[in-house]
Amino acid sequence: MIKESLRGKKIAITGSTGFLGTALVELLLREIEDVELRLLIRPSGKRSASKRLERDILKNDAFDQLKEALGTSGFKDLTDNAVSALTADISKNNLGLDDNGLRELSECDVVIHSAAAVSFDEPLDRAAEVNLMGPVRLVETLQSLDAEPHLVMVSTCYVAGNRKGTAPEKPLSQSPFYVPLNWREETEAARRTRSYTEDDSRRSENLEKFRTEAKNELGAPGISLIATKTEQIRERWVKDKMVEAGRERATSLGFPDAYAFTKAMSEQAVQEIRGNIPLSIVRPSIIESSWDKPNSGWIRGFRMAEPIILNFGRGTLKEFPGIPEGIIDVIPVDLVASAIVAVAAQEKPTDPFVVQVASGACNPIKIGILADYVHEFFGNFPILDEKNQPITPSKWEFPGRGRVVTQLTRAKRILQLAENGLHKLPIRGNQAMIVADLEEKRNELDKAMEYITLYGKYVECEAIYDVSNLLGLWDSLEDSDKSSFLFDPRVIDWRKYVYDIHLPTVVTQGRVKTTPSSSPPTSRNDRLRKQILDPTRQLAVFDLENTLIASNVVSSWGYLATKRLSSQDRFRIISKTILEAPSMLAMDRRDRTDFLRNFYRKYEGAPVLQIDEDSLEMFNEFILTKSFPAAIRRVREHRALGHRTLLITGALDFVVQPLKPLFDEILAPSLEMKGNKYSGRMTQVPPIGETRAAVLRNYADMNNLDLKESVAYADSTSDLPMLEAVGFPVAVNPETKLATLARRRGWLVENFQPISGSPKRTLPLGSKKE
Amino acid sequence: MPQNQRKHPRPGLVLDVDRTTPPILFHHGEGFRMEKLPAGRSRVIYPAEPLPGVPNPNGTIRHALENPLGDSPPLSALLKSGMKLTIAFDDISLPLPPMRKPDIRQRIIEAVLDTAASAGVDDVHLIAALALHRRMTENELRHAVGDRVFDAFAPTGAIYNHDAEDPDGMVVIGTTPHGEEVQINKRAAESDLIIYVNINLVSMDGGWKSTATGLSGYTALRHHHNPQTMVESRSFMDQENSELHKSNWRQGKVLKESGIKVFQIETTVNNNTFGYDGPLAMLQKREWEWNFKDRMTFLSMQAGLKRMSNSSKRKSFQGWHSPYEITSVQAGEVEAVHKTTTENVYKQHLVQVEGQTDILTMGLPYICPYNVNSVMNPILVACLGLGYFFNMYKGKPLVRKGGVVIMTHPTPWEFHPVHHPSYIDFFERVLSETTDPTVMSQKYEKAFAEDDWYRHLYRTSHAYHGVHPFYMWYWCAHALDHLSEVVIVGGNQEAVRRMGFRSATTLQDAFEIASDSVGFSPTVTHYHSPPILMADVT
Amino acid sequence: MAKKLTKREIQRKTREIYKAVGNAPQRMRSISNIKSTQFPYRAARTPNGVAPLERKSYLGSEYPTVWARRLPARTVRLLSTELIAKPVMSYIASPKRTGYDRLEGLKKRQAVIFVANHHSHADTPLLLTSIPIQWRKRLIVGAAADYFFKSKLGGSLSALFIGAIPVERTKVSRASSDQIASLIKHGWSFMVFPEGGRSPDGWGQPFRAGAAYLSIKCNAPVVPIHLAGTGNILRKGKVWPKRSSTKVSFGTPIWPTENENSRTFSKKIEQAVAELADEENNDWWIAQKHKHSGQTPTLQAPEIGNWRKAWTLKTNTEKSANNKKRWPTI
Repeated sequence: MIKESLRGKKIAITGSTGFLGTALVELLLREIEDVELRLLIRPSGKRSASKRLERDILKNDAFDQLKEALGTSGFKDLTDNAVSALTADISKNNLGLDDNGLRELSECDVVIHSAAAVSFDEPLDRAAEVNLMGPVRLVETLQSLDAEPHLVMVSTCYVAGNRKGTAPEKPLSQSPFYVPLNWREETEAARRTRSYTEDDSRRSENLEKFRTEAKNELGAPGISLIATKTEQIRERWVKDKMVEAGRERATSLGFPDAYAFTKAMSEQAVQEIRGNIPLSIVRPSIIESSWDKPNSGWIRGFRMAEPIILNFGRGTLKEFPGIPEGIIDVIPVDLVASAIVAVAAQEKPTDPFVVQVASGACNPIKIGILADYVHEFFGNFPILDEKNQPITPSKWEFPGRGRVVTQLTRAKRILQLAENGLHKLPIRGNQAMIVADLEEKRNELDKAMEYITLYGKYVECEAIYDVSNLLGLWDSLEDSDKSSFLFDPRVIDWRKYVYDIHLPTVVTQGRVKTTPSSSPPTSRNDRLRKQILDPTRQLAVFDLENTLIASNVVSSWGYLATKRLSSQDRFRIISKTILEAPSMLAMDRRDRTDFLRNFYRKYEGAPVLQIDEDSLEMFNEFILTKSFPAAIRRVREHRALGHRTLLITGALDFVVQPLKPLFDEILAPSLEMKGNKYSGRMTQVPPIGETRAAVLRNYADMNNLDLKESVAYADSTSDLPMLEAVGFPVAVNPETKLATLARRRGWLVENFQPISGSPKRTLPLGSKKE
Repeated sequence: MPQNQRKHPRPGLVLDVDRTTPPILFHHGEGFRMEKLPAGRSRVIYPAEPLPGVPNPNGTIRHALENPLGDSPPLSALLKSGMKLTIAFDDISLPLPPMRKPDIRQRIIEAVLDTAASAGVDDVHLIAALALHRRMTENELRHAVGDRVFDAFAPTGAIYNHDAEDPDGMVVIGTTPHGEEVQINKRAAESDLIIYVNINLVSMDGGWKSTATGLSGYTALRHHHNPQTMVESRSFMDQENSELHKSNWRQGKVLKESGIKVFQIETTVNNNTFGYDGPLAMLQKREWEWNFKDRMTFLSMQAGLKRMSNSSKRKSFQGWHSPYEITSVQAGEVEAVHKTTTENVYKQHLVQVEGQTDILTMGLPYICPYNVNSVMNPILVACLGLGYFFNMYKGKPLVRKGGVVIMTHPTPWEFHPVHHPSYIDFFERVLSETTDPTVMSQKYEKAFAEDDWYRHLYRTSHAYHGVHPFYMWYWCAHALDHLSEVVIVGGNQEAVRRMGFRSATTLQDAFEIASDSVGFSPTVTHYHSPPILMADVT
Repeated sequence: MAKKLTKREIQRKTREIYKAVGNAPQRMRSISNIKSTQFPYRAARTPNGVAPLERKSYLGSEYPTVWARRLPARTVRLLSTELIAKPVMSYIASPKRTGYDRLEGLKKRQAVIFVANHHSHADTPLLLTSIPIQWRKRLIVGAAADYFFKSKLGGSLSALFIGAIPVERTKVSRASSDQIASLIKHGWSFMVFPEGGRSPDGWGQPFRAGAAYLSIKCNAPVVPIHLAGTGNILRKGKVWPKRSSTKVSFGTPIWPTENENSRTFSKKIEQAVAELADEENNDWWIAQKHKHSGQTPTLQAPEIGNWRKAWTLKTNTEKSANNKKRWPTI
């Protein structure tokens, strides 16, 4: 009956690039002869609608079976004449269709609307725009074309809200706990909250908050990087605010989240304005991988349950809220597709016909049982960690949601405190990597918190979705239709479905390591090092302090100043410098260039000859003892490979002069000369922070070197602009902030140390000399 | 006459250990160990007691200058006004440990300059003959030549370190019949007379080795500082069968024929390394002759050393200056002088020993020629043990072919970044690949020798030459080829294993390790040095 | 010690007494103040007509200094040098002492004659703190009899604190030199300024032969010492010392040859001190060349006008004090 009624019909489908849409297209092409499908597709990025049809839909593995049956050429003919793509965008008026598109839409007999913003943490206004105004615009366009096709709208069971007891298959207005919603008001309110939040984010105290947050995440890398970071934080703040607004608004009206809330409003809106367009509504519950068509276990993209299952398998998520007796309402995607086709095949109903596709009523599966299956599965096929050791998942104890949330927030606060504390300490290298690990764990906790807040409600809601209409429809089918359009939930054997079908696909889709890798795991660092020491690289840039040597500007001045002083003068100059130290440190934290400019005043009146002679002796006696042999070896390896080596530093040129043979070029500030004495004023801006990146860029242009093919070694976030400018950044003995950034961006982190046995010096004093 | 000094100093002693023999003193880097040797099958070789020094050193020096040996006229006859004179003297690596002021070099140089002043010589240069060693610091030069000479010559730049890598400072004189190039400092080559002031601590020093090696560079040294020569030198301390000695003498001959006149002054010192009376006097005495005061000072020193940090221990040990006395001064023509010097050296050091044993144990002290005022890294430990102590023999080595050497030294994984930069890379990159000297010399030596960075550090900083770590390893070539096993007691495990030796925590464990190549009851010889001794093995 | 009264003073004194006593009965009351001025409270005068006991005033060269060489005086002298003289001299003179290694040839018990040029009173304490302890333990210092031993107090102080012994400046008296010679033979070292006195104008004076004579007589080596910069501390005629840096350099000991006469030997000693001065101004190598070519500049003034003498003197001292303004300014 379905095949006959739909044969030769023109069917328009929106949201065909989605998980359900693709299943629907595949089912229609497979079962219904000479059907004509009009797919309304939104062009995204560079790809036009037809290209997306070609790439996103037809290339999907769902059509593999069809391709084998018809052969590639047969399949191509079928799709060429049966399927056509219309560029459309449901968030625009007339769905963004051109005239030809409108004409083709008007000729359609059936319109299936399955486009929706399905992610559960959509900002309120975007959810309203897509889920609510989308169907409204579709109906308005159909009315403007005065076409009356059979409109099948895909909604969700959760439009029933967080209620207990059965949810009837009736339009919302007739269901018992109906909460009157004025959808026009809500859309306006959503747009207004968007503009309020945008203005709120631009208030000065918020902007100040964002800038400080950016600063303590990046340190002091210079104005432009801080600005981009602050903007990112502001946008993320707005999005969070909108998502929260959506969630608060939904929970205040009894809905689990913004998605269910907007879907409920769209149902009411369409009923209100549909006029005499026949309408039927299909409400699936949580859609999961297919039961057997096109092949059992087919899935596209990650939806709701997969991240939870994977994190549980990896052991990062030990607890999950939800009560063991609670029912988790899961339905395979091919059952939903068949139900939609069956509904579409009915004759056009006068008043809205509602069908709920859910397994909760007729063939329920309890969370406890699902958890056992998952635990058993991961017991037999465990996920392996990077050391090829199987991770044994812990038993789910199902604590109440409240307890899980408090546990997680406490852990998060402790980690945050530890991290801030460590950021203050001047630790470097390996100790700094501990901060990176802390940050990584904190991110995992954030994700877990997100899952819990998002999915927690779905797991806890105990509504049972009545499926009498569905079963009625199922009984009215002939046997031939029943075999090809299976949508009876009772047929599902949950153990087989979870154990044999769904979990294997989740694991393969998640690309998680379940089989031990054969070759020894070359550590990530070795791989990165091989990449860096590669003849094709062109330039290797080095910072000086804490990258090549462990001394700094203050100690080299200390050496040169005390070189020719008697012991009382030495004592006086030491005590004077110690008094100045705190203010110098504070200025250095604020802005390094000011610090250098102010500090180099101390060289005022220093005789050039004496300084040059003493600086060679300083290099031999003091700087070399604090150098990192591994770092110097690395510079020479770069030169051996033919790379151009460059040293950019804030230290003065006469201090780094003895390093000349190591580098092709040394860019260091120099002091003006007044007669035969130094004047204490720098000739040009010291290459620090942003100026360092600028200096590097025009050095590369002058010698036509490609920065993307070059390597940079640096130790603090003030060198971030340089590190980001080059293709292969390396963090050497990184400060805590740079350590977390390096770990997050996957940069190589080196830990160069002075050789043990080098003579230690408490104070940087020069050996006496008249 | 100080309390421990004898009128007739006793010669070296070979003591057969029995149950009554007390535990023997082993040097252990900056520290000491007391070890019990197995009774009945082991012996200890003690050095000779210090010979008496000459009563009036300055007088002896003046006398030697005025009546030289060999066919050379007296110094005053050689010096004429307006001539170009170059005085070369030994660098920081001699004597070991450094000598108390006034240093021998100061006495001799002042005497020579006095004669030169009377002859009216104006153009005089003083050069520290480094070869490829590190440049001496100002304080080390002051200690060697004395403040008076240094303050007189330093301002005009007339006293400086030899620079083997200075392109226009070195000149190749010629090649020996065996194809060995001879390279020497240009200033020395062009001067009318070279006066070489030499301290002959061991029989290897002096003779043509001073000028042919001390004042030359890598192009000349590579011909005899290579594994083949080292393996064929059946101890380069014993001149008759030392391939190194023959090669140096060939190069010396070429120098002589090219018209370079050398006035060689050689001095020998006695064995008074730790002083007759003073804090370390007991280290020079035989264990059973220690009196109450010696035992108490030793115990308090051991307790003190336990509590000190590594760097303070190093500073205090490196601060020790030995009260050496000059036992003889010879001057004149190189070969004649060297013959008498060698006899005088042997008079102080030679100890008659019969037969070889399976195991040779030795306690490595805190100092070797290349870590004065510096850090003794693992490579220098191997060089001191297997290069110097093992080769202190005449006739046959103290341990039989295929025997085992057991050395005690903390062998820390520590390097001095300024003095030994190329050692760090050698230890990291070369030793991790291979410990065989011949493979190493073919694959890596050239790259290290001609590396610009090492050359820059050698010439401007105080760093040993890039190729120096290789020479240290070639120094052990003869021992590595002769022995089947080398065990270091009390060393840092990774460092010892990196050098291809076995590491043990106590002497008994070392014997246990050695048992699989020399059996369970091997015969043992303990080489009780310093003070320096040389075994004449028959 | 009572001073001899002139005739007029005696008459004034008797009038006072009679006035105090008066002829009235108060005589009894004022007996007490007569008694107070009476013998034996006051030394009596030698009665007239009696030959006064001829008081032997052992001053000048006869001043007895043997007590200063006994153990208690020696320890006091040693302690005063170590505890007082050394810190004071290191503050005032901040001396740079060189040349000690030249003395290592001398045997332990050997008595030595130290000879130095003389510019100011600061020379003696500077030398006392510079001479090594092994000789300072038994050291006598030749001091001018007419200057140091004029009074009993001055004599005893200088004998005690610097171990001084009177030496005749004007004529060579046999007595004092015999006494010193016997002391030297008994192992006492002797320190003396052969110029006889401090230099009046900053230039050296010719060396007297006293030290040479003693060295030949007792066959003791002479150690020449050159002091530089003491002139700026306390020149002749100045009262208050001024801080300035000084240099003390010891020369190689000179042994008298057989039958050498003291005049030529004294010339040789002066030559040695001049060489040390030359080494100080230039450096050791130039000094050696000057020595052998005989061009060592003498310490005495060149025969030029006295303003130029003062002028050249100033340029020499000018060179040494060149602490120009140093970086960094603290």
